[in-house]
Amino acid sequence: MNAPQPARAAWLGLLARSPRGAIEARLADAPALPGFVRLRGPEIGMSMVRGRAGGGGAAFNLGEMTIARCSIRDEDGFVGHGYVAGRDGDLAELIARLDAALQNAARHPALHAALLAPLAADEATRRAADEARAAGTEVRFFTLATMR
Amino acid sequence: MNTLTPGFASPLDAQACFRALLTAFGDPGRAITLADGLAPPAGLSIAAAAVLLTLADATTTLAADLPAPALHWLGFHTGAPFTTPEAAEFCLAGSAPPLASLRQGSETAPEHGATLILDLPDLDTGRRCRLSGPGLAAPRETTLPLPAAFLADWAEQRLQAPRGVDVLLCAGRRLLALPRSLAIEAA
Repeated sequence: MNAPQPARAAWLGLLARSPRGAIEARLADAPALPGFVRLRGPEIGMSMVRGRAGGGGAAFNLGEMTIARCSIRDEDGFVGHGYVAGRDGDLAELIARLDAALQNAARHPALHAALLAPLAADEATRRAADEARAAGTEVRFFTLATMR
Repeated sequence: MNTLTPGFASPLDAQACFRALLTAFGDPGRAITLADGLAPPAGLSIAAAAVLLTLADATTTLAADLPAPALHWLGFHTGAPFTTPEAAEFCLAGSAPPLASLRQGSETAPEHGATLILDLPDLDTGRRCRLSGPGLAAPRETTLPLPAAFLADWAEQRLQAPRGVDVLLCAGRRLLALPRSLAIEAA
């Protein structure tokens, strides 16, 4: 129904992947979030995760995972949705509030600077550390054909 | 700007409404009053909104002739896909369409017949009717806000039992069920 919103998808993904403690710590320096009413939830449910072997072929059901979600509307009239893996309904509600505030052009820059940019940097650090750890165990296969 | 408003405050509200629906279908023609608390968007009565929030979900199809904000609200809170009245499992209307135009179910799967939800201004004005059938120990005389054409449709639908359409009349916070097994005659 709605057009894709890549920027919004990016911040929702970043918030969903970030640890709750990190979000709350960064939020302490950010301007306060507006008041809100809950539209739905927070509620906990299951979602089927589907995948494709090797990124191609027919989709198969990988397994179910627990998801908490919440939808809110804030005082500025923006509707925010929060989805997070696990059973933390309060975190889903917090992400929904952040999603609503981030859609507001008046609030976005401050929140981006205080919250999204540091979280993205944290994630990049985490990812680089994981990759460095994995790189140490890399095994290079080669055949005689490529040695010639 | 988004105009979405909250649905049921708690899953218990949906369970209370389901209980009310069981009572209504078990005692056809009796108006049940739902609890207060739901604030549906314009175009939807509290009873009709509560029934759809309770019964419709992503696995049922819905047809409703409503203003866009009310459709958005129903879509968001129920997750039900919208379709045409002819194909829908739940059909919401302000006045009764010809019953034969809705889903009738089949002889082996009569449960696939549609449920028609009529959202009316009130339940108390109309024609005197005598109701009889399963759920009623003795015929019940009551006033139903239904046109003559509906009663003719209803009599015709009863000939093809168990296929047919179940009807819910909603107005304000009140709802009244007319299961397809019911006989309705003008009194």
